[in-house]
Amino acid sequence: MEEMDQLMSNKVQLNLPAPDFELHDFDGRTVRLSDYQGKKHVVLVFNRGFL
Amino acid sequence: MRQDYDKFLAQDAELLVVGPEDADAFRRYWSDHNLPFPGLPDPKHSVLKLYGQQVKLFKLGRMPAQVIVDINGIARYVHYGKNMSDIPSNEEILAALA
Repeated sequence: MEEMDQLMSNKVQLNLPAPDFELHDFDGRTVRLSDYQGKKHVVLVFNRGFL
Repeated sequence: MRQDYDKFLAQDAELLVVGPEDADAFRRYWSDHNLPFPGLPDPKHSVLKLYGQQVKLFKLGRMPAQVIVDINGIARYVHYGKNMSDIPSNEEILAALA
């Protein structure tokens, strides 16, 4: 179960800052989690796959 | 998700969907389903790994996960699915936002 432990160690901690990241939407626009700070809450959904 | 999107907006929340598919797959799916919220392809799995979604653990597919980040950037609600149907309802997520 070492792999599981390794993956679990990246779990997000509650009441601590969520890790910032930068991705591009499918139109090429850059989106950063920190873009929303001070403006909106963010509901991050990690999809289980739609294909 | 799409029907409840207005409720998320009313709570001053944005919905971001991240997945391992590439931009083309996202674009097609978003267009087919007419989705109003941002879709973020992550084919390198960088953010998926950062947030700990169990990408390769099960052959059938990844487990779903949701994280609510409040307006100050703090993670307030985290749910990692134990199986494919272990997804909190929109009501649960909306309640956590309130």
